[in-house]
Amino acid sequence: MSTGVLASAISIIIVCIGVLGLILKRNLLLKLLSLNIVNTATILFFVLVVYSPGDRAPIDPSPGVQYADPLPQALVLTSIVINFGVLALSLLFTMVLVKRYHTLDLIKIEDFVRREFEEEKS
Amino acid sequence: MTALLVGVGSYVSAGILSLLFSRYRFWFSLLGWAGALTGASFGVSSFLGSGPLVGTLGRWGILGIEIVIDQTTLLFSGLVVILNIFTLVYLRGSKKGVFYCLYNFLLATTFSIAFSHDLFNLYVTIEFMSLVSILLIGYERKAYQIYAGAKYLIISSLAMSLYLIGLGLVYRAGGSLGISELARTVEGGTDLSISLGLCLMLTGLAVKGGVFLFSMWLPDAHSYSDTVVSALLSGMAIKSGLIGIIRVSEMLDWSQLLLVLGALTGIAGAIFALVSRKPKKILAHSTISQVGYILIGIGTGTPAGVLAASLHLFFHGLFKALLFLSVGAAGVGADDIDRARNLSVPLTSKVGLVVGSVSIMAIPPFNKYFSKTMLVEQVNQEWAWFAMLAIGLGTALYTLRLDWALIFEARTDWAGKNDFVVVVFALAVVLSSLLAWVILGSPEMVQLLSLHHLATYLVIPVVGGFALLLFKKKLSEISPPDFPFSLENSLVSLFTGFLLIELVLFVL
Repeated sequence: MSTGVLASAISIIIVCIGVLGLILKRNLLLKLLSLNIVNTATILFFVLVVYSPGDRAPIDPSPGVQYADPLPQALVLTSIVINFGVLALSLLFTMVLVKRYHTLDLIKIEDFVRREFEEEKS
Repeated sequence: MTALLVGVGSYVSAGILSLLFSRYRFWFSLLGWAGALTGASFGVSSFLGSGPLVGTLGRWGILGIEIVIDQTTLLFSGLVVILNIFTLVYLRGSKKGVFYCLYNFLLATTFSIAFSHDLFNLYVTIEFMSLVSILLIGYERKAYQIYAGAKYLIISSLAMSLYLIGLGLVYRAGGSLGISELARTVEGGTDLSISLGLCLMLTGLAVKGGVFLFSMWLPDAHSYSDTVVSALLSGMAIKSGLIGIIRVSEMLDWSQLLLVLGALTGIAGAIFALVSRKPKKILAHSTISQVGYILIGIGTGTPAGVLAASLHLFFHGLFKALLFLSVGAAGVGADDIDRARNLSVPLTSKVGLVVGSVSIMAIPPFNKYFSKTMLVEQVNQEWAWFAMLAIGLGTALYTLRLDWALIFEARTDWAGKNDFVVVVFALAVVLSSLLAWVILGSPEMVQLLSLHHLATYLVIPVVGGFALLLFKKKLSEISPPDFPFSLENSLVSLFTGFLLIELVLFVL
């Protein structure tokens, strides 16, 4: 088994760990951390899978030289930025919820939310 | 190409300007709408001139972003433009500049999804669309809206991670991101990594597109948010995932899988809509149910089937937005329909509700009739046909239940709160069935208006009405379950759905 396959298998295992944390943890902050683990491991996997070795960076085009594929870098940078945005936004939302209910326990929060919605309309 | 740049550019600049000069936010947004209308009409003229077109944005050859102009593109961008003008007039400056900024950004992203024919471009636009729509869901900062937004954020971020994993697998095997490029490479190949990658991508898009088991975030997010936001989310935002499924399904034959998913989505959505008691919840579940038809349309795999799905997507956007606006204008979105006698609904909203519900029940001269009969003509499996009949019956049941409460039982409020935008919008929805005639041409229309179709669609609501008379007491005793829609259970059901996809594709 080559190193690349082993590394991508490990990154998939990290994704699975993140998903398990996302499902099993009741704490909202831990859920967000697990989500971040999933996202980071996804990027790791993407880099490992798409990576194509070349002799040179694709800057100076001259014939006969094998260049590295420039596309994956652009894609990975974009998705890192998007994940950063998602994390910032979800932390903001968590902050609002914690300020309102003083708990991070998701099941309690869901309870409060349902009750509040019912009460507000009556 | 001009169409995309003009439309998106005018929406983005309208968004920024209405944030900076929030006094003139309405007028800037109106200008943005005019720009998008110009863009969409460029698209129409290019389509009429040279037919379906696949081009590349930028001068980098294979590295450029592939875009497409076909019937699906035009219908979806037209839907964005139409919903934009009616919701804008409905808003009439009632929100702050920030809201208008986000509103225009949402329109810009959905407008650009219509043209997207590139896997990574789809990823970026859909992700941006969901960030903006989450900010819009939580705009009023009520705790339940924040909760619904956070749930949507977590599930959709996970889904897009799955999409990215799939994208990596497909890019490695296909060596390109453009869908028509890839479709050539993939052609007929049964490479495991490609089909697994496409499965993961389908999962990601299904979470965005309101497919049952995948998007259990949808009912809360669509019913807790503000009226205009729910109308836009249900009308067009979830359609971006479906557009993605239409594009991705060009690469692989998924017909059996999409038919199964479509039937499941349609029937489950209808059942949940039937047991819900709040008008906005009913409408949100009904969105899931209608997505089932669109999936069945994509699943037929024929060009006519995909056209029927796009047409259904367009019509559904119109009448669902109309229903949300009429319920929201009356201010009864979160009331219990079993206690409708205490409510008062303005006359304009009642008109909107009548038009919206005859459309959703596919009564003959109204718009959904044409898209649905087109679908029925394309489906050739018998079980799928029966599934569509069941979805139709369920639709008739919950729509009639909603109408009975809000139109007959609720008092008519003659004086205040009448909003004539709703009536004009209802008129537009009625007229939109002419569009089916424009697209399909007369001979096809005559075929769709044949006697057995007419009889079927007139009988279904009548049967539904009688069934409702029988079961009304029983229905009001059932309280809708909340547990499938909590965050953890929706994550679990997402992976159940993923396993279902794998099962249908690789085992059966």
